[in-house]
Amino acid sequence: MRSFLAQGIARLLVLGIAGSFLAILIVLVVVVPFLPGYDPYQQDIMVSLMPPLSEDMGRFHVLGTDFLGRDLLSRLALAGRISLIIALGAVTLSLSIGMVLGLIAGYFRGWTETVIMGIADVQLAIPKVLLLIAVTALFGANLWQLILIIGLSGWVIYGRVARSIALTLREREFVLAARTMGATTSWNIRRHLVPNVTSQMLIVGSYEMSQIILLEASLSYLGLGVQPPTPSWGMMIFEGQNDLVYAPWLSVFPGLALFMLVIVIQIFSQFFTSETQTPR
Amino acid sequence: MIGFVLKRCLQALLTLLGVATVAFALSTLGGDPATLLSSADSTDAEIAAIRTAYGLDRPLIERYTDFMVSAAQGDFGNSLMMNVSATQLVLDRLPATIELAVTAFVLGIGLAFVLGLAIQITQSRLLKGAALTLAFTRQAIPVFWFGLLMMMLFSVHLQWLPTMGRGTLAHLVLPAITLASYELGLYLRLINAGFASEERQEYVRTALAKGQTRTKIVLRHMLPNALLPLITVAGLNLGHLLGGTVVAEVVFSWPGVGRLLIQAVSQRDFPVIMACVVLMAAIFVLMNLIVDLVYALVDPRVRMK
Repeated sequence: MRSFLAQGIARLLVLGIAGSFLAILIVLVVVVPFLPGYDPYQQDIMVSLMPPLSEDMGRFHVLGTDFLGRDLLSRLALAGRISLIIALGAVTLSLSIGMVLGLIAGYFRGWTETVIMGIADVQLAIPKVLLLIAVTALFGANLWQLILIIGLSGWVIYGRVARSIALTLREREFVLAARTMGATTSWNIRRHLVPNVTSQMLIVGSYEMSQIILLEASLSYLGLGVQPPTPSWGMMIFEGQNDLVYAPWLSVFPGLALFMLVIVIQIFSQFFTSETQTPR
Repeated sequence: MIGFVLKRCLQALLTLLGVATVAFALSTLGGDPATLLSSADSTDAEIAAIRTAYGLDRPLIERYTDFMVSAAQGDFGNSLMMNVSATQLVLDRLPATIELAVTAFVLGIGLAFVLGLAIQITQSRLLKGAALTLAFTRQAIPVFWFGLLMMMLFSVHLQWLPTMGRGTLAHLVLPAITLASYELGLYLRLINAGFASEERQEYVRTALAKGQTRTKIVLRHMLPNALLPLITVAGLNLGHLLGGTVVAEVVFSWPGVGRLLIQAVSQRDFPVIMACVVLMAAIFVLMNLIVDLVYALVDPRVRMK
């Protein structure tokens, strides 16, 4: 049996590696699109499809270039930034809606709960990818629309968790006491319920974030994400897939970036989950 | 039990009603098909004529009831592009999708079952660690990228399997494995968690004290209990599987409903899009109804509530 110390060290090591990857990714995503001479949109047909680590007239293409001669690293970084913005925006939106609706349902019970959870059931009955495909097909997709529709379609899971916590909280002494002393409902929800569900909401949110990144990539692979020339990892993989043999870097790097980001977020998500559960 | 069945059936019916309503709302909000069907130089009169022909000029309530009545009969109108019934198009593609989804599901859950049992019986930390790490890793790779990597390895480099299309069993292998590997990871984690919570139960200790072998305890006592939560999750997860199937069908050019849907989306063929989404959702609701009824059958606690 391994000692607690060894387990702790192994855990710290994994977290450290995951943390440094996340830090590198964030620096890349924030800094690279700003580098002078590496405009992610600038086309130059003379340098199209250059392999990684090649140089052309003083411009160094670390990850090579695509068909139109655009620097792959810059596009990768910009796509990552868009992916992160969509994920953060959508998680914030679903978390807020889900938390409010879930707390209201669990606090008021009765028909309010029936209606809110009924809507949740209907939404769960439509497979998410299908729903998003239908909605993006009908309304089109730019950055803000994507945040809006992914955010609106994802509130159910937060709602369910918030409701189940609110169901037990509403019977607790401090909530009852406040109510007896004349606290209004909205004050009670804001001061007593919200602080008690935030940590659970953030745990769900961290896992959902990795799922949204995968979802957004799938949508853009299907041509339903942000539209060109704005880059996205899913679309870059789609564009590169036919040249996987001759120019593998076109799709391998976006695929790798996607994988790294998702796995790092999931490692953190698991860490948060185990930290908040009762120690064993 | 009869009360439970009736209540659950009514609930499924209401959900379907909701789904159809959402579909109607989306198609109404999503723009005017008449402008799409007309060419750029059509006069307003021509567009108005198209609108009348498709009944788009009638009041909203009337259109809604009409839509619901025909949707209940499985009629979503004709495809705008091919002038055949949208429902028929979906039904033609359905066997391919079911073939892929069912294969992936059975393969995934079956392998998870075998692996989970092996881990539980042997108590091997190495096996458990390796299996869970692989599952964790696989779940961080999207379906399309995993599918492409599989295609590169098995079709392009090794040339063992065809890259796309449907027909022989060999065509089924890559898309099925792409989807099943994800399912495998999901169910393996569940089975492990199920066993872990059963491990602490007193009946396990009693059986051990009586001198029962580990294999027998796992198979006879723990397995039935550990499998119960799996049934519910399997039903709910079906939606995720259907979504994955859409992407896998596009990657492997599998002629199923998913590819039909994506094709319809690029042609903005609204009746077909609606038929795909509503019929797939209907299948999903039906499967969940069956799952819940089965669950009530095997676990009396559910129907007593």
